[in-house]
Parts: sequence; structure tokens; C-alpha cells
Amino acid sequence: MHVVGIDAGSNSVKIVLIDEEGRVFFQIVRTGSNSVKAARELLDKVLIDANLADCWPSYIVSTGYGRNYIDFSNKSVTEISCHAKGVRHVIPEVRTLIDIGGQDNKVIYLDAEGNVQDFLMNDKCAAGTGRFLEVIAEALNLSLEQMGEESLKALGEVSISSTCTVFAESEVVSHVARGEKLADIVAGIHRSIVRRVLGMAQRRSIIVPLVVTGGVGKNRGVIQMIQNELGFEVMVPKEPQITGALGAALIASEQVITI
Amino acid sequence: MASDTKKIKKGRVLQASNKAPQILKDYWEKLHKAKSEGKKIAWVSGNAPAELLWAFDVLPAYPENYAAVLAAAKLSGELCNIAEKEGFSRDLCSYARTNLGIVFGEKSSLKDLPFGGLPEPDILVTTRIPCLTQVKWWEVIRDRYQIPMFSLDAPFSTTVETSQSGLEYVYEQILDLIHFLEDFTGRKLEEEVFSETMRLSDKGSGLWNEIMDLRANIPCPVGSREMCGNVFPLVSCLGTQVPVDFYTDLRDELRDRVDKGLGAIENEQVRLMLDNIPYWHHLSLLSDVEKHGAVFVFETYLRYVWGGRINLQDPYRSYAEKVFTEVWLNSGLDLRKSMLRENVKKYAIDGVVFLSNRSCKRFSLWQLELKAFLEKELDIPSILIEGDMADPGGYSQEQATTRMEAFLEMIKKKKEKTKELRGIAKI
Amino acid sequence: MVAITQEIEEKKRSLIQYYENPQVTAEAWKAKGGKVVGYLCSYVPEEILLAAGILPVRILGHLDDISVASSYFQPFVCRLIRSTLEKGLTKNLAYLNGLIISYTCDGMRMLYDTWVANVNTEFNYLLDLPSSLDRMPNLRYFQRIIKDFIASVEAYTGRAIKEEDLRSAISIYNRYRRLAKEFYYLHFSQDLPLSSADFLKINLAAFVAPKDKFTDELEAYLGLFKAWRNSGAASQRPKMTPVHISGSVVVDPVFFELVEKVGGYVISDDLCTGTRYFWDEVEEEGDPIQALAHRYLSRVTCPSKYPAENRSSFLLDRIRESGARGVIILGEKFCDPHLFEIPSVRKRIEALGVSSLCLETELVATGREQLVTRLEAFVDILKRKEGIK
Repeated sequence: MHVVGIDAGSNSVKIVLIDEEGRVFFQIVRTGSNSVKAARELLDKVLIDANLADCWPSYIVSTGYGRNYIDFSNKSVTEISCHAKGVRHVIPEVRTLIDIGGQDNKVIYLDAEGNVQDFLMNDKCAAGTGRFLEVIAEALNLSLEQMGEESLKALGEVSISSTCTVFAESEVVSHVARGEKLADIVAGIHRSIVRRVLGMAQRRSIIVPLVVTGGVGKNRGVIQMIQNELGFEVMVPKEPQITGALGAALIASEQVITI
Repeated sequence: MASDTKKIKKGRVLQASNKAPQILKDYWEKLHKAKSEGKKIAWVSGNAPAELLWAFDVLPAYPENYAAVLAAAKLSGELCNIAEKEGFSRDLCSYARTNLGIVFGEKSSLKDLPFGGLPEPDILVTTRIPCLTQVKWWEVIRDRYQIPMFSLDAPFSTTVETSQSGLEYVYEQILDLIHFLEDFTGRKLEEEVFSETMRLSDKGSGLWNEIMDLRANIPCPVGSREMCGNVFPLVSCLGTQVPVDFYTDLRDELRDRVDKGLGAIENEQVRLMLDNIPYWHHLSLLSDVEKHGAVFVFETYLRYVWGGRINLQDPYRSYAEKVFTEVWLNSGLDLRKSMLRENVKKYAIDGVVFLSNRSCKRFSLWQLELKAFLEKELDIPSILIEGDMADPGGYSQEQATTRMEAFLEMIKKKKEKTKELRGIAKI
Repeated sequence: MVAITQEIEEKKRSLIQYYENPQVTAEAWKAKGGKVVGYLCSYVPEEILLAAGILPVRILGHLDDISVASSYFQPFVCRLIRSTLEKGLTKNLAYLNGLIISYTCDGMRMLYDTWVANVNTEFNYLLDLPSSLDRMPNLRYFQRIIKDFIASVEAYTGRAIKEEDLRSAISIYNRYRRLAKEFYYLHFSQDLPLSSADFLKINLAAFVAPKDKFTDELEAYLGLFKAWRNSGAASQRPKMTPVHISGSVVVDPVFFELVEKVGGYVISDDLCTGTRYFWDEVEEEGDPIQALAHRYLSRVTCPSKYPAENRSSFLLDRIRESGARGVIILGEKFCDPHLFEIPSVRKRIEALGVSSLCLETELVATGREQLVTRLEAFVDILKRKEGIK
């Protein structure tokens, strides 16, 4: 009896499988233009990984932007509940959770029992999300990992004033043309993201432990900057991108137990 | 009755609700007919003393109400564009932009608007009671049509003391408005017509309040989306027999449902309160929750904006009282907190949804305070959903729906925990 | 010549420092036993405060980031309101004994309750002014509000305001108004050794300095300019394209620098923090309370009032008078009263044969690069038109 959680974002699809022995398998793929197709194909991959090819899962929970389009899932749950569940499983004492996703940011405040007490979502524009970093990384000809490493070399910081991703990109290009240090530019970009994210998160008091998830969680420069701003340690799970799918899979396993 | 259920529009539970669209259509026809017969038409803002106009044989038309109709019909976006081309900022109230799109638009393109559009005004009556925007918006209309305009002013209703002086001020202006209308029409106020209009207005408002009260029942007999459609006669035809008849039927049908224990949905698990003007272009946001066992049982927009009881012994003064009492948009923060507290209890509310409507500062700016108040003092969870009442731009229906669903998940989890705790306590 | 220039520089520094260090002025006033009360709208009758021994300090907002205030107010309200709330919440207005907020507009009115609930001072006052000023009940209510205000100020200070103190305060303010007007006209000539940015700072300084002291200094300063002119000194700068700015509150000196950078010169205005503030005097004959009510009622109106007729004629008069070639309309973001009137204001300006540029601003600032591009393109158009003439 194995269960599956599918996080169908508009940027990427993440799938987590938990098998009978409680082992966790996961896969991530770019969504492309057809999230259902991408999810279906990715599911096959994960099943093969887990040696469960042709063995349909007992229960599938879908979450994320495309959750209601995954017609082969049994239930859809919002990413708020799923991220909270997933992170709690990995870091049980978590009280505040910031997910810097590909397309949006979420801040989830948990009570001492791990229940969602309140949440915030920015959904107006890409500035301050993973997409923002991608656009800039492309403009600078760096991979996302390289962005992180690069910023740690910075001695100064170039201030990026545009709050719009597109305008920020032109700002970055002009800074490069003026011969500013790459590390300083990237640090400035990271500052932009951190400012936006913390601007939202600090609308309520942040109770520790604070966990950051999402692809941007792999960017050491951003994490370091958040820690410096807040003055306390920020925890990042080993696989920060799959916490939503993990939560979905955990919810799936609960459904199976109740059956 | 059972055979009549076939006639009920999809997503509605009441047969009486079927009549609402026709009422609106009939009223508009009446307006156009009156205009063609040379009668005077007034463009009136919400909360302005429309009943007085009937007593001068001037018919009130509501650009604001019409903007909501246009938004629900998905026509407001285009009209807002026309207003922007004319130079009106996108940060201005979308009701105003929608209406100004008509005022400044090509006459030929307006023929296809619902109900044949709004007949042009001969006179303007507005008020600062809901907001200052109403006054500045009306001033633009006045400049365009070059017709007389009256603006009824008032301070916010806060404590009993400030209410007294504010009330006197409004009362004096009501008397002044009568002079103004006498000058405009060249006739005197017809006392009998006025008395009758006030009586009917009070009756309609009384029925409306009864209807609101009936929704406090568990289960709630009718949901939000349906009632948002049913409020339109209260807005546009207040003071006539029409809303009295309509709401009598509505109330009777609701009483019947309550007696039979019939809810808007079969398995009512979560009772929600709505604050602010609905996003007219996304009304399913209010009804989709019903798929998840939740129902909106109370809306500040329905209870504390329209109608209002009148003391018929002293109609002029109590008229001033009506526009100064229990009007959410003209109430100070403390008053709103107490109204919130009262209704959270009365309606057994599990959670509050604040529509953070960027077009309406008067509704929206204290929502963050009220959210904190609900949490700290009443342990009631709430969320804010950003959007705009008549402008669909920059708004994602998916995002709003996701937030709503996440909120419901949160509340259900909370209720489960409470039940668990209660269960443990019982042992 | 050199001596005069040096003295001009020193006097200018002395005037500007009021604007740069409002807290210093406030502390000095309090040290002498007086109270310092902030206010947010030019409809607040400052003379009454001064007559009661209170220093009125106008809160002008700032261009810094707003973070804490976002937990209280959503962003769709003007920067003046948000930055005032921000300053209050971060204890940066703690030097004030009180704050007077008027019911000028919706955002302002709602700020009052939020302020009282979360910041608070020993004297929070809501000046509940009417928005309509065209009918008798409005005028009566206005006068009543003024009387209530006087009573409340007296209750706060614990003593009655004497008539002679009120007359004296009125006289001080009128003197300031006359000098401010003179200063305004003086700088039309573009030949003063004073940048537009500094001109702005001096005018903003007037809002936070004690009026009589400031007026004395300003008078001496203007005296120096006249002496400098009489000495035959001519400005090194070439005459630039004069523009008029129309709007609400402007606190951004860099904006003026940018206008000059592209060859323009801000010659005239009808700003809330400019001519609309000091233009109309109070009648010094007869009953001072009546005179005050009359002055504040009939002064050049703000767009937040209805009707706004005398405002547009004031605007056009200022443009004609200064010979401005173009008008920059500063559309303050989320300021409904100003934004509603912009299309009709533009039409009236066009009818005069004057070009206009509309900018979305937040006490100005916003997007430097784009601002420079727009200003440059506008001034180029104006220069071209001038050339054709």
C-alpha cells in the first residue's frame, strides 16, 4: 500500500511517493504547457523508482495551482495545508514557514500544536518569487545555484530599486554595463527578494523556528541574508522544493488509514 | 411547492428570488418611460435621501447599483477603459470609472447596455455618508451635464455625543434639501406622498431586517450569492410597494424553510461572515464554498448599508437618524468592532472573510485592525482576499479560490480540534 | 558682493535647518513650557494653537520605506497617510504632545481612529470639518467646529485663549503669509542665488518653525536678496523654461533638481504645501473668531472640498501670472479628490493654450529614470513650442 502526493505548480511539478515501509521517493520536473500530462508522466517515473511500476497508488492527493486539473487524484488540498503538513513532518517544532515558490510566496503561521493559525499569500506579481530570480539569472548567464554562490562573494551591494521583475532586469543590465561587480549585483537582487518576502512575513510576529522552503531555499545567499535581517537562524529542509508534495502524500496516507 | 423546485434557478434555493431580475428590469423601464414623458430623473448615490425625491415626482436612478449590474455582466472592464482614456486614474473607485465610461463614452455604444442603460440625469443628489468619492464623482457628472447638484454631508458616527451634533447637522441639511428640490421642481413637497414613501421604505427595511435575522438560524436557510442578488430592489426601489411585496414573499418562504429546518446546503459545517462589497465579477467566490459544506450567513454589506428603519412619528429628524445609525461605512472603528462582536455571536460565526476591495477605502482600511480584533478578543479566524468590486483587472479567480479553500481547511481543522477537546472533556 | 553671497548662504542654512531638524525646534519650545502639536491638513486653524501657546508642526510625510504601517493599512491610501502612521508606530513622532487630524478625506478620517488605537498622544483631536461648503448648514457647521476646537484647545492647555493672543497670532500668521507671497514672486525672476530645491526646503521649513521667529529670519533673507540685486549682481544661470506645478503635498527636493537638470524651472505652483497654504489672509478687523472661520471657509479650496470652482480659477491665475510655459500635474497616488479633478483641470489648462504633463507621484519620488525621461521629453516640447513662437 503506497500513497502519492502531487504538487502541480505552474513552474514545476513535484511528486512524492511513500511506500509501505515508509520510504520516501520523489521527482521534480518542469511543468511545461500541460501540467496534467507532466504529472502523469512523472508519476510513472516515481513508481519505477520505487519498484512499483504498474502498481497504482492506494491514494493520491494533489495540491498546488493545478490541483483541480489532476483528474487521476482522489482529493485536492490547498498548498497551505500541504506545506504545513510536509514541513512539520521534517521539522516538527516549526512555527513559521516561508515558501518562496516559483510563482508565488506563502507565509504560514502555525500554533504550538502545528495547526495553521494564519497565512498570507502574495499573488499580485512575480517580483520576489523564484521566477524573478530565474529571469535575472538568465540575464546574467548564471544558473540558480551559481547565483547563490556568487552572492556570498559580495563585499558590497548594488541597490535595485525597481519593484517590477521586468524593470529590475533592465536595471541589472545597466549595472553590468557600468562595470559593477557581479557579486554585488546578485547581492542586490537577493536583497530585493528578501525585502519583499520579509515585508510580508513580518506583518505578524515571526515565532521561531522559522523554516524556508521552495526552490529558492537552495540559494545560500538568500538564506544567509534572511538570517542576517532577522537575527536568528533559519532552517531549510534538505529537499526544500518537495515539502508541498510531501504534505500531500502524508494527507493521502491519513486517508488510507481512515478507510 | 415540491413541483416548483424545478423553476428555481440553478444555485438558488428560493423561489421568490426568481422575481429579482424582473423587478430591476421593470424599474428601468419605468425610468426610461418617465424620461420620455418629460419627468425629471435624479442620479442618486447610495444612502442619499431618495424617498424625498418621490415626493417631488422625481425618479431616482442609481449609477452605483448599475455599475454592480455591469460588473456582474462582465461589461465594467470595457467601461473602465473608457474612463481611463478620459484621464481618470486606475486607482479611483471602479464604480465611478464604470459610470464615467458611460458618461464620457460614445452614445451609440451605450444602446446595448443592460436595460437600455441609465437615462440621463436632470438633477444630482449625493452624499458623503458612504464616502467622499461619491461627492467628487458626482461633481464630475455635474460638470459634464451642467445640472444642479446637492451634496448631503455628515461626520462619522462614533460616540453618542458626536452622533448628536452630527445628527443635527444632517437634519438641517434634509430641510435644506427640501428647499433645493422646491427650487428645482417649482413645487412644494407633497406631504402625503412623502409620508407614504417613508412608510413603505420603513416597511421594506423592516422586512429586510427580518430576513437577515432569519439567516441566524442553524442551518442558515439561504446563502450569500442569492441574497446579494436579492438586495437590488432594496437599493433601487426603496419607498415603493415593490420591495415590500418582494421581501414579504422572501421572508415567508424563509420562515417556512426555518420551520422545516431546511438549510441553504444539506450538510452545514462552517458558518462564514463576509465583509465589504462582493466582487461582482466573481460571485461564485461566495457560492463555491457551499461545495465544501460552508455557507456565508451574514454580510456587513447587506445588513449595514441598505435600508434602515424610520420613526414615522418624526420623519424628517428620524430620517437623519436613519442615515446616521447602523451605517457601516459611516461608523467609527469602535462602533464597527461592537457590530462585529454582536453579529459573530448572533450568527454563530466560525470565520470571517474580508474582501480587501481596493476601490473602497471606507470598507477596507480598518480590516486589518478588525482581523486582529477578531483573533485576539473573539478567537475567530479571518482572511483578507485582495481584489476589486467592479474591476476584474489584476485579480486572479484561482488565487482567490485557493485562499478561500485554504481558509476553510483551517477552520474545519480548528473545529475538529475543538470537538476532540470537548470529547475529551466529556470523558 | 562676496559678503552678501556669504550672508545669503548662512541665512539660507539657518532657515533650512528648521526643516531638517524639526525635533530640535520642538524640544526647544517644550523646554520653555509650551506644547507641540502636529497637524495634517492646511485647514487646521493654526492661529488658535499659537494663541494657546502651542507650536503647530505640520506633518509632511516622508519618502522612506513603509513596513510597520502595512500591518495596519493596506497600500491603497496615499503616502502622506501611510508615512504618518509609519512614523507614529515607530515612535518617530514621540516628540509631539498631540496630533490634529481633520476629516479632509476618507483615508485621513480613518487614520484618526487607527492612530488613537495604536499610537496615541495626550491630545488627539479630530477636526470634523464639512466637505461641502456651498450651503448654509455647511457654513454653520464649519463655524461650530471652529468653536468646538477652541474649547478643546482651552481644555487641553487648562486656560482660556485671550482675545488679544488670538489677534496677535493672526497678525503673526498674516505677516508670514505676506512674506511668503513676496518670496514666491521674487523667485519668478530666476536670478536669485537659490536653487529650486532650496526654495522648496525653505518653504517646508515654515511648516515646522515658530512662525514669528521664522518670519523675522525670512524677512532678513529677502532683504539680502534685494540688496544683492541692487548691487548690480546678475545670476550666472541662463533663463530656463518656466513650468508650473499643480498638486497636493510635495516634499521631494530632488524633483526640482531633476526639472532643472533637463532645462526647466519650477516658477509657480498651486500646491497644498505651496501657494494654497499662504495665499489668503485673515481679516484683522472685527471679531477674530468670525474672521478666522471666514478665512478658512473662503480660502482657495482644496479638491477635497465641494464645490471646487474657486480652486480652478486660482490655478489658472497662478499660471497666467507667472508666464509658465507648461504645467506639471502631480497626480498623488490614491488621492481620490485630486485624481478625480485631473481631467477637468487638464482641459482648463489646455484652453489657456498651455501644455501639461501628468505624473503619478507619491509626495513625488517614484522611479527616477522614468521621471527624468518624462520631464526631459516634456521640457523639449515646451522649448520647441517657444522656438516656434
